[in-house]
Amino acid sequence: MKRTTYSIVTVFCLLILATAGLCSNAAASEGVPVEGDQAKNFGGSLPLTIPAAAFSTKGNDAQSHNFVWWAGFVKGTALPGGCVQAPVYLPRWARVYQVWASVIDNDAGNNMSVWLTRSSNLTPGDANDMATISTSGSSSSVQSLSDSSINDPIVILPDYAYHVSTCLASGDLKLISVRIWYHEDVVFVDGFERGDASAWSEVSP
Amino acid sequence: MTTLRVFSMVAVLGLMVVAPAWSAGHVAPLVIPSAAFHNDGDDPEGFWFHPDGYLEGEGAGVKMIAAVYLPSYATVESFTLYAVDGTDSCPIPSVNAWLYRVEISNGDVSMMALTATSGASSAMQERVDSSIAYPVVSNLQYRYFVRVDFCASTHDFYSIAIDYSE
Repeated sequence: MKRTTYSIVTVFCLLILATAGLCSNAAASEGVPVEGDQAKNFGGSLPLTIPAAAFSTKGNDAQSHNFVWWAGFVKGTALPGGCVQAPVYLPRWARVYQVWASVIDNDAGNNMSVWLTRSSNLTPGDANDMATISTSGSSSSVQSLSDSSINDPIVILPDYAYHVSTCLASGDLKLISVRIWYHEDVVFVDGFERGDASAWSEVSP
Repeated sequence: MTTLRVFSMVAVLGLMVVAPAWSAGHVAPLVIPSAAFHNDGDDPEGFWFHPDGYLEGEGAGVKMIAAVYLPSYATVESFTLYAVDGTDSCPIPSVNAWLYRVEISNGDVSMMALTATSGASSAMQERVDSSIAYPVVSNLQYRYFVRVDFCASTHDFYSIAIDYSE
């Protein structure tokens, strides 16, 4: 009985081996995964944490912000502007479901917002905010704020590039970090559902 | 007992072969947004970041730099620049991009890829270099960076995409 069981399992494993050898495991490549590459699974770790040190101004008003090295946050200065940006590297086809920011808004006269933005690599000027986090009032405490209503949550590479930004209008506005939470869903290639590719349905292809 | 050993070996071998399909790990392509680029000192205010996510020049040539993080042993397949080149009337008439590697032990710099916009138009240009020199990534021996040069306010640099296989 035992031998029979072992034999069955052994044959099963051999079948798995043969299947793995025969089925091509195509390397990741630009564009939509090739036909026959039915699903992709991605590694990575959660959340994607972007520290204040990743933010920098790009061009004008380079002195309109200041990274406080002993505290690890970036804050505004008395100079106008104070807009800083950081790149966002997310896995292809990931689904963003939450964005968090830790900030200090101790400025009664100004608030601050943090944006996660995607910019099209195909159409000039086509950009939209996926998430927006804004402060209100003033407090000397660290606030952790979030946005769970994500616009266009699927990460599409290389069609879009992603960045986070904020504008710090005074020295009392401080950004500590941004965290991006995402799922790595199994994604099926176009045409995987042969004959009825518009959507999943009960219609037999 | 022998059967059990054979079974174990086959099972382990089977899992080793099948596992990579479900733990592929890293993700290609690497898309480096313009927000990753900076200019430390050479001309730190000679450009401007547009809220729509691109960098533009201010009339003088400017060099922008970004670090590149690729997995060791990956093979770079292509290097792509996304930019709008609205004019040829600037000291640097195009948007130019290079991928470099720097040997850690001696600082030698080698160009792996280069590409540039061509002509003047308001359309997005996707410029690809698929002839990659030294395509295999070795983070033990080299570090990697991208340089992008542009000039005019109508030179809009959006991003760099580096496609690679593992």
